[in-house]
Amino acid sequence: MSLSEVRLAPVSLQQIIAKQYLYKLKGHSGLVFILVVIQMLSILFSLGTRSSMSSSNEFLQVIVNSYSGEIFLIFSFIWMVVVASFLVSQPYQSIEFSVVNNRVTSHLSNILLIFTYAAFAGITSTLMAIPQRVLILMTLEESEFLFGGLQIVPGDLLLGSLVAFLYLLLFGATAYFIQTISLSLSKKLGIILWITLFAFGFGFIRIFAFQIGNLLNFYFRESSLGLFVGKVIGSIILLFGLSILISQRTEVKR
Amino acid sequence: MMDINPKLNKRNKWKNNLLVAGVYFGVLVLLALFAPYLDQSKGFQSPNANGKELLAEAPSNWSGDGWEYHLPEGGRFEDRDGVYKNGTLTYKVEEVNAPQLKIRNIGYTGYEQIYMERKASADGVIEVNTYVAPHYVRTADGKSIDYTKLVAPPRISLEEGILKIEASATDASLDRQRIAFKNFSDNFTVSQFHPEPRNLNEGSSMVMGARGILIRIPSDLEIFDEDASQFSWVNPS
Repeated sequence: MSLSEVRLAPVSLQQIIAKQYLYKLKGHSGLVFILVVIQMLSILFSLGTRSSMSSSNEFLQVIVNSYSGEIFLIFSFIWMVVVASFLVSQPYQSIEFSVVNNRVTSHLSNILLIFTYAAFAGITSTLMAIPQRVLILMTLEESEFLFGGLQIVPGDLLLGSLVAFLYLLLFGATAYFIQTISLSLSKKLGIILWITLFAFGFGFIRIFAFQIGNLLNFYFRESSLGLFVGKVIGSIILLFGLSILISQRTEVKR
Repeated sequence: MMDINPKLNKRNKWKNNLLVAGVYFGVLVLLALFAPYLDQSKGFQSPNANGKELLAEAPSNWSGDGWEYHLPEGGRFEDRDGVYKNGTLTYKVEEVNAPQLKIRNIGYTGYEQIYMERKASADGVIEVNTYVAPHYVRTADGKSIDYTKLVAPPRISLEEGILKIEASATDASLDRQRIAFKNFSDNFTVSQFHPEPRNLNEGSSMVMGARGILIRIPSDLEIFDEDASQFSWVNPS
């Protein structure tokens, strides 16, 4: 058989993405392992209180401590931002040299990976509240009283996992977008975007007489689950879409 | 030949990593399946079995500056609703071993009001009753707890004609009683969709009611005159 007779078997886009996804999942498996370690270590931090009230006089001290599992979420959010940034960074992209690849398949397999990580981190960070609560219950001292039960409602675990998954996707998509800009357009622009995100995300925005509030409240203050899901899905489509578009347009330049 | 990505060098490492992640995930999901069977009661849990029985839900409408958290003047403590007798001790007159009974407050016990009542009969028994006015706490999530019955009585002893009243501490390092309440609140990922209507006038607050002692002595027992500053006589009803 001569070289001219060699035919490449037709491979669909989905197959390429699936292969890349599995390849990256294996190649970056250490990132999931790191999350497991982070979550297990953060159980120590979770024994610290979310809010505390205390009153005392010379003969009596009364303390009310409230606990939540938000520390697991916070650590997972940070992990997701770092991981999503890494996926677009030059060293991590070198893994793609050994597979059939173009920008779109690379992005789509990365997005699939971020979805997988978000699902894993969203569920585990929510469920970590169970060992945390059992641990606090088991370490109660004679002078300590737990009230209100463990409050582990299956419906809340499902809701918490879904919402954590969506927040993780949102943070992941944001980090991915900024890192894409940083890599494709300008590093300085990327830094400016990070600073802007922190300022507008956590700070209070006021433009002349218009008080807009901070950006994160657009999601955090949404009490309708349907609207929240819509906002997050809309945002991640926009962020991932822009990431693909920007890197496509700058492909020739680079 | 060298691998392009050194991260992929250890070919079996990904299997271990994903296995760890899978086991971790599986254990948490199993815990979630058992979670509904864990104690979800609205009551109190503590290794202190007696203590948790003494806790109760406080009335929802209490305020931290109400007069009802004082004890009534005159020594008739039990006449007021919500006042709890947290201790009773009795001594026989023979145990006094002195011509007169002396009263000594050692340190600051918190039991500020000490009343003495002479019984109508010479029954030979000294009764020491300790009382506390309501002690309430309201948590940030609106739970109101009555912990009045947990307040420790002072240490009281009768030695060589002296009735000693000392502070009672459960935490030696603090030299005072310590009570801690703990509860769990939802993560913001859940509470965001369950906004609870809350009365803005009701924040978290605490009230520590007054404490008092009523000593009832037989009609024929003499009291050391110079101790008159340590107590007041009960108003005749």
